[in-house]
Amino acid sequence: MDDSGLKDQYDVIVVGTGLTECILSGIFSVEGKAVLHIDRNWYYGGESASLDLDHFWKTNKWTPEQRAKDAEYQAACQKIDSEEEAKARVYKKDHGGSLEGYQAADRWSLYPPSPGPRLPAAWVKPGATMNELPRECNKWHIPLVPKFLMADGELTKFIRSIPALHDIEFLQVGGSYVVRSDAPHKVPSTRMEALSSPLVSKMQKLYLQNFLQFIAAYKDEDPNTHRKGLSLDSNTMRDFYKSFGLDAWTSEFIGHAMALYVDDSYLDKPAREPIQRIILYVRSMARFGKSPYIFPRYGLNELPERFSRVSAVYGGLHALNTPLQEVVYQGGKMTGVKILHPETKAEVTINTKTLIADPTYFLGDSTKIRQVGKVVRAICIINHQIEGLAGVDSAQIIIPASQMSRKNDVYIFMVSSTNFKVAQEGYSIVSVSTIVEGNDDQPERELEPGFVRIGLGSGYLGRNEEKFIQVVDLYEPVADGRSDNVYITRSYDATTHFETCTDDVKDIFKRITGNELVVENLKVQQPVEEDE
Amino acid sequence: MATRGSTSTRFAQFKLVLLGESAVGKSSLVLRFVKDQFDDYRESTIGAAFLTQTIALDDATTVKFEIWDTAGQERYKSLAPMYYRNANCAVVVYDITAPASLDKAKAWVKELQRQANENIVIALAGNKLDLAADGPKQTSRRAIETADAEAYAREAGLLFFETSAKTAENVKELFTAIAKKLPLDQQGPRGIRGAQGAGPRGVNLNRTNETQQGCNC
Repeated sequence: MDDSGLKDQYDVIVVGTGLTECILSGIFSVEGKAVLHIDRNWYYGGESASLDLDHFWKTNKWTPEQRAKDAEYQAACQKIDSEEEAKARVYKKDHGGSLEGYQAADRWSLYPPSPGPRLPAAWVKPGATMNELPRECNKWHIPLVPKFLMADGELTKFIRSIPALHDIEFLQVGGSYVVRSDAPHKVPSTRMEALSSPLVSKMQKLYLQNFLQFIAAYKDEDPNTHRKGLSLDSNTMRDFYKSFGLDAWTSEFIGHAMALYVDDSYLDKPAREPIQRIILYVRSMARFGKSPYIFPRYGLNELPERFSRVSAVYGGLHALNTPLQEVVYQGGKMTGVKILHPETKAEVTINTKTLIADPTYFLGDSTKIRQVGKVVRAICIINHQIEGLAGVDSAQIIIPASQMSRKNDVYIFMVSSTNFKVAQEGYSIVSVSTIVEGNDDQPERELEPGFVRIGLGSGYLGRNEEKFIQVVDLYEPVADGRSDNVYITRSYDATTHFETCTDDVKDIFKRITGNELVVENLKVQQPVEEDE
Repeated sequence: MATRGSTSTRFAQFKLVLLGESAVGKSSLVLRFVKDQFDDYRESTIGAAFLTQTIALDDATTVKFEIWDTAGQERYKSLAPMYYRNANCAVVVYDITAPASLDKAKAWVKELQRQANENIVIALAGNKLDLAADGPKQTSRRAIETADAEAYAREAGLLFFETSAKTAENVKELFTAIAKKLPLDQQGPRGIRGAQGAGPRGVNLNRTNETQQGCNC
C-alpha cells in the first residue's frame, strides 16, 4: 500500500457521502480516476443516511450543550463497567470458575446522571449496560429520507452492474397502497387486479384494464403498441386519460400512486414522462410481486456505505470527519479545495479539476444553490400495527391531495422489524412526509391526515412511541458546473424512491465527462474470486 | 475440499474481517493465506470486494472464509459499520516491530467487542515475525515481546499468533485456529451469515422474471 496517504492532487474530489455522491465516487474510481472523498460527519450517508438509535436520539433530543458532555459521561460509565466486570472476574476465580450466587450491581444506579434525556428503555434489550448499549443501538437503522428502491429502476440496475454490490440483501416491500375514503387500498397494477380492485367503479374497471394493457405492451420503437392518434410528445397526460375514458379519481390514483407525482402539475405537460413512470411502476411491480419496491434488509445506509466501499476497493481515498474549509478559485474556475488534513489537522490545499459536492456544503451561497421547496417529515417509532394493511412488514401509503383538500400528497413509509433489521423487535419505523404548503410555524400540522392514518392522530402517542419532526429545505444548484468545475448535487426530493437521485448521477456524469453514463458498460473487473 | 453429497460432510461459510493500522501487513497476510504469495512492494488489492479461501478441518468438515479487506478505509477512521456487520470472525493485525500498532489493535478489539456480533471470534496476529529473527544478516527489530501481547490476548479472550506473511510462518495455523473456534453447527443455507433469525430470503436482483422462489446462491 502506498504509505504517503493524502496526495496534493486528485482527478475528482467528492464532498459529502450521500447516496448520490457515493455512487459518483464509486463510478469515477471504477473508471480509473484518482478520487478523494470527504465528509464533515463521522458517518456515511449525509442527508440520505440512516442513523443508529443512539446517534438519532441524541441529535433529536439532546441540545448541543448536552451532546458536548457526552464523551465525558461515556468514559465515566465505561469506567464503572470495567470495575464491575473486574469484580465479577474476581468472584468467578474465587468460586471455582462459576458465577453462581454472584450479585451483580445495578449498573444504572452507579452511572452518573445522563447529560440529556435517556432512551425509552423498551427500545433496547432490557437491562443493557452502557457497554452493551452501542451494539443494541446499532440494531436500529433509522432512515432520514423515507425512500425505497424501484425494483426495476435505475438504482437497481446500477447495483446489478457492479459485482461488489451483489451481496447486498434486499427484501421486497410488502405493499403499495393508496387511500380513498379513509381506507388504504392496494394499488392495482395488472389487468387482473384492476378487475377485483374496490378502488375503481365497475365501468372504470374496463377502461383501467385497457389502459394497463396499453402500458404493459408499450414499446417506444414499435408504433403498433402506441395509442392511435396520440403522441407522447405532443399530447398531454390529460389527453391520454381522456382517450381511455378514465375518470377524475382513476386518473388521480394513476398519476399519484403509480406515476408518483406529488401534485397535479404533470397533467398538462407532455405524456412521455408520466407514461414512462407508470411503465416503471408496472415493471417494478412485476419483478417480485408484492409491491414495486425493495429495501435493504439492514437499512438505507447499506447503500452509501457499499458504494463508498466500491470507490475504496478501486483506489478511492476516504476521509470522514473532514470539513470543507474553502473552495479555491482562479479566474472564476475552481482549482482545488482547502481541508484540514485528517491526521495532522493542518490546513492543506488539494488540487483538482473536478469538484462534486452536496448542496449543504454551500448553504447561504446564493451564487451556487437555490431553495426549491421545503419538506416536513415526521419519523415515528411505533409498536402497534397500522390499520388496514393486513399486517404487512413494510409498505408505502399515499394519501392523494384531493382526499385532504391539499395540493400535495402525504406519503407514509413504513418498515418494521419483522423482517428488516431496522429496529428493536416489535417496533416499526414510519415516516410521514409532505411538501410544506403553508407559512405556518408548525408545518407538522400538514401531516395530520397521515398521523390519523397510522393511529397517531390528535397528537396521540402510545406507550414507548415517539415522533420526531424534521423540516428540511430542498436545494438545487444554480449552474450546471461546467463554467467553474463545481458540480453540486440536488437534495433528496419528496419522491418515494431514488430515481431522481440516479437521474442526478447520470446528469452530473455527462456534464463532467461529456459522455452518457451507461452502467452496463463500466469497466468493472469481476472482483469476487470464485473457487467453486 | 470435502466431498459433497455425503450426509456427514459439513460445509460452513463465514465472513472474516481484517483490522489493524495501515501497513501492518493485513493484505499480505490474506494474500499469503489465499494465494500463498508474498510481494515486498505490493500495492493494495484493487477491485477485490472480498477474497475467499476454503480449508478442510477434517475429512468431514470444510470451512470457507469470505475475507474482507479494509480497502484502506481504516486509514482516516472511515470504515463503514457495514464492514463488520455480520462478521463471524476478525483478525486484528499489528506489527511486532511497531509498538503503536498494538495500541491501535487493542482499540480495534474494543470496538469489535462493543459493536460487532456478540459471538464474534477475534484473533490477534503479531505480523512481520520474520523481522524478529537474529541472524548473520540482520538483528531483531522486535519491539513487542511475545509474552506481553499474549497476556493481553488471554485477558481479552482472543486467539493469538505471531505470523509472517513473508515466510508463511503461522499463517495457515492462524486461520485454522479460527475455523476450529467457529460454531459450525449454526450454519445456515449460506453459512452463518444471513441465516441468523428466520424471515424471508432476500430478493435476487438478477432474476429477470416475476415472482421468485428458492435458492439464490
